[in-house]
Amino acid sequence: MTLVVLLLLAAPPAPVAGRPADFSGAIGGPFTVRYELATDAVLVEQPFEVTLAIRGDGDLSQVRAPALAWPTGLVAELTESAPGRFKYRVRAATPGTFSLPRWKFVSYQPALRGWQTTYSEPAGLTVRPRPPTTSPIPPDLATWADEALATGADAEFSLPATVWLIPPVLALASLAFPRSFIVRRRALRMLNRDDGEPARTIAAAVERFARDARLPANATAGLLAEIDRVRFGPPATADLADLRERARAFITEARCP
Amino acid sequence: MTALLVAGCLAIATAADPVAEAANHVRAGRPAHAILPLRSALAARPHDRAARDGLALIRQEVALGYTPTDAARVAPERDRYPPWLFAPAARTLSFLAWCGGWLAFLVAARMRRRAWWIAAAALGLFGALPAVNAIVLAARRSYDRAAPPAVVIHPTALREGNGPDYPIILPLAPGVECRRIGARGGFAHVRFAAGLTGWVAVDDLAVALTEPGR
Repeated sequence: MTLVVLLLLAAPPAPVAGRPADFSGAIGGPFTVRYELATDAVLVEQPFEVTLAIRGDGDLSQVRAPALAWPTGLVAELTESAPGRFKYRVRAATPGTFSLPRWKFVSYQPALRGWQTTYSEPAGLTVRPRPPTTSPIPPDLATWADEALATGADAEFSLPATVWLIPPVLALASLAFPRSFIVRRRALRMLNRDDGEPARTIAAAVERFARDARLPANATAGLLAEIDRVRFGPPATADLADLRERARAFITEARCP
Repeated sequence: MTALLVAGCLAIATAADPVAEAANHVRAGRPAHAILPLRSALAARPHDRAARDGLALIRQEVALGYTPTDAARVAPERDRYPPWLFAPAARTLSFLAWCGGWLAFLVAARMRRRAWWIAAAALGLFGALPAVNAIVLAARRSYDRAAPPAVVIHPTALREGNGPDYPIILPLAPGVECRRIGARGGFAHVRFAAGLTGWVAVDDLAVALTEPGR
């Protein structure tokens, strides 16, 4: 103890001229620096201690904790700082293998009147993933999970929204055709049908047209009377052709209300 | 042209599969963590059979840990709107009804018969099903934004106030579902479907992410 005090008292201050920028403040030595790890294998988020230790005789009172570039994924917090000993509490955020950087330590050796630079050996650290906190899975739930993973997501087909506009657009567009057009077309198609009884067909077509076109009863009275005369009177084929033409003209030209 | 039309008509879901995410949680022994992905899957596709089955199984397991009275107090929400109405088959049927409804409207406009008008109205109502579905989904999203779904992920307790010193209302097991209606001082104010409210430590709760602009 006395020797150390004497050495400290005897140690001259480090010169300012030529002082390296990364001078640690240590005077004496020679010094050695090293990492001291409590373990070299930890789990994610498991805190562990890393100590930076300086060995050697000399004045370490001016030495401050070094600014170390910790590897990405390690979070370090200085917990204890004593001359020649800096203790960090470190946690790893991610699993993997990390290499702690070499620590450069520059000191002044009064005996040699020179600067001493020394490096620590790099330290390796393995961080393993934390085993999940599991609970026993019920068999039916496990079966469901296996099936869900095996099946995967179903591709779903859906019509684009614009398709829904097609029916109303078509319906409204078709309303643009006049109703009489449809009614006439239907009656003419009926008129041209041949079912063996031409007079009855002509009468049915005219009656259908009158009903669909909502014609007043007297509008077709004359024509229907003539058809009945041909239908129930003595046979006369010549009259039938003429009657069909008259019915066609009536259907084509009659004004629908 | 046909290929373009077909490609336009077929919207294939390529997003990440929340059901698979939930299944991975279950296989890893964390069924409580699977609930929010499953609920997210059901929010997007309420007719998803796998998601419904998985959620029902997990809820069944959660309920086993409670007495019937307490299970009723922390019971999850039930959907009142039938999920099958969201199914593709229902959508297809409603599209056919939509087409049929307009056809009936066309006939009714021509024939002016009451029966056709009634048929057009009935088919048109069923054809409007996707619009009703969209309204239901929008209402659910809005509710989810206001009170996001939350799940207890660690064994914890429901307390009367936002601190560990407040009396315990009910112990909560992982997997219990609720909605977060507020937060203060590291505690979340939660409400259960049955109306029970209380405070839970935020670290014990997983809350669904909601997009504010959605």
